[in-house]
Amino acid sequence: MINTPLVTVAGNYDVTDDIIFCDLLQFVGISPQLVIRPVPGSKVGARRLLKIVAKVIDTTGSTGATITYNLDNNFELPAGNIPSFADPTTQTKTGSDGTPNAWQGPFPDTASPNFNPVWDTLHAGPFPKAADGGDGYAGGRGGTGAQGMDGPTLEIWTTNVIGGVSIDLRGQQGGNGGKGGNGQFGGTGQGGSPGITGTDTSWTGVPYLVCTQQPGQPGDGGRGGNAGCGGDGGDGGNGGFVKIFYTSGVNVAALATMLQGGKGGNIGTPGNPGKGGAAGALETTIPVACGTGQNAQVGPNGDGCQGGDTGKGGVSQPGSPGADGSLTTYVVKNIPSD
Amino acid sequence: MSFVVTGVRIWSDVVLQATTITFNSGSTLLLAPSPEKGGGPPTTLTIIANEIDINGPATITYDFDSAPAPAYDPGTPKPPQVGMAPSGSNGFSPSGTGSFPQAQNGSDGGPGMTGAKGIPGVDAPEIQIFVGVVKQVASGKLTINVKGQDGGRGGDAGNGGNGGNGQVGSPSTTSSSWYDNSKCTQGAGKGGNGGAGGDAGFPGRGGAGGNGGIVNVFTLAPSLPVVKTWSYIVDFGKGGQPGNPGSAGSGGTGGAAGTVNDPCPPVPGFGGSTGPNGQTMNAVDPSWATDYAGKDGQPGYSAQYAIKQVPS
Repeated sequence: MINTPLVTVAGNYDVTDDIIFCDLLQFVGISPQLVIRPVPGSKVGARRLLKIVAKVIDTTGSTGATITYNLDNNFELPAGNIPSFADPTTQTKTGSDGTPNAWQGPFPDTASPNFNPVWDTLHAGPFPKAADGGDGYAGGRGGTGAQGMDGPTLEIWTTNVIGGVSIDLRGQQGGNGGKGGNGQFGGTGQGGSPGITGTDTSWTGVPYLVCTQQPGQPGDGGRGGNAGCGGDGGDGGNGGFVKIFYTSGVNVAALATMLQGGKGGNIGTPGNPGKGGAAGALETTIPVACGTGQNAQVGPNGDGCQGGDTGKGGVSQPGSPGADGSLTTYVVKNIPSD
Repeated sequence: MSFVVTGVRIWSDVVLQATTITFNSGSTLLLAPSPEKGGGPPTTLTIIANEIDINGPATITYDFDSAPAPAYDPGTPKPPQVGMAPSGSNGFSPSGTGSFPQAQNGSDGGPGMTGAKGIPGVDAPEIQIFVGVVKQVASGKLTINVKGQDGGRGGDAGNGGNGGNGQVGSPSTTSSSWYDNSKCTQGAGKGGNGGAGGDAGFPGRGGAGGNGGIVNVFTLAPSLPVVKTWSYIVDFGKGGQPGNPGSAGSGGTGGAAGTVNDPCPPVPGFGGSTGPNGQTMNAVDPSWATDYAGKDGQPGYSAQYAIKQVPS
């Protein structure tokens, strides 16, 4: 509890107590802010209440006096129309990037087995079909954006307000979802085995070539890994509650409130699907008697994950907006004193 | 003005002011929406009284979701999500025999949809009490229960669709002439591969637990020891359990190799491969039961103070 005759708010004035008893709450200078901060020892997200019992609230020596809050202790860039780092004007943290996240640049992360003909000297696989390339792993889903802070409850008891104060206890905007991970590339299939010929003779006794084993089919390319979906957006924080207890004649309208709920965070950006692996090479020297060799198939690309569709990895959802807070004013004969 | 609490008395305003507030034994002052007045629940309450009389055990608590008694919000979790999210569609299975060299593959099954997110438990209200004098019988004790509500269970996910079956391979073809017997002109084709099974749907996350409330009591110094004997329950609500994940779809069966006609050579292994099963939730996240549970709320706090003058 802060119990003092005079509280002067100049610049940013952080309050970690839950009660202020004073005769005069004075705002001075340009854009002074009384910032409600967490009570020591409390965890992020815990409810917060500040009770101000001030006989007089005077802002005539200031411009742009504000009461607001910063409860997440994060450093976030302002996103609103007020040049402030307080929670109502910033967006809380973005979710973590999804893992695994395959490298897709030069020399991409490729699943094994990967029978790349450049460095795979054992092109030919077994008959009838060579080994397929490995399937790529799916990219991880992005983390959920952090939930926006709820605006605190502010209770003011006063007998006189001189000047005006903006009370900004809007809910904080939820964080955006994290980026989905990229899928791994599928491995290249193994090369096919060569055809094998033998001889036979016609009824006229003329020998001719026959195919005793067709060329083996090369291995199919591995499937590309699915793209990781973007993370869910964090829910917006609820707007705060303001209760003003005042004696008759106080200009309550001088205490202007902003108590809207915070917007929900957006879905994170999805990762990129992995490319399907190349089909294994067909044996190039196929005996005429063996006809045509059978090509293998290129591995299919991984599935993408567009926001809101039924892409694999679960459907991502934007954050829900927070609920609006409310203002209550109540006339009393006298206010508490300590 | 006197205000008497007997049995269960609902209060739906932000402020309760009375000269004397009397709690009769076994009574409950219930902060809850008023059916007559409508509107949302009052999530904060300030009580102003010159005197509070407590004639036996009594309770102040809340019920914001109008769940039926006997247990109010601190003792009842939010209701679970019911129903199951849509399952993925089954993959297409091409009919007949395919073309050479390989018949058509079955298409993949669709993934199951994610279960609905559990309903979050409500945050308990903040209760501020300004009272001049507290009179309490020996057996009397006021319990202020503003524990956060437990979150609701998440919804069940949809199942992955089954992969489509691969098409049957094309039959071999031959030619024959009177001078050099029959010849194989084209071997039997390979059967199509079965489509992959759809991935299991993700379970709906459990609803977050509600935060515990804040209770401050301000009274004149002689009554401070009495209000310190009251019971203040400001615990957090627990996060809800996740829903059940869906089951993974089965991979489609590979199509059979094409029919081999003499003298074409046999084609062992030319049957299409069975499609892989979809991913189960355990494969995606072995600790999903923990990871998809709702987060617990945060505890509240309570404090009692002596002041020189109470408001009126």
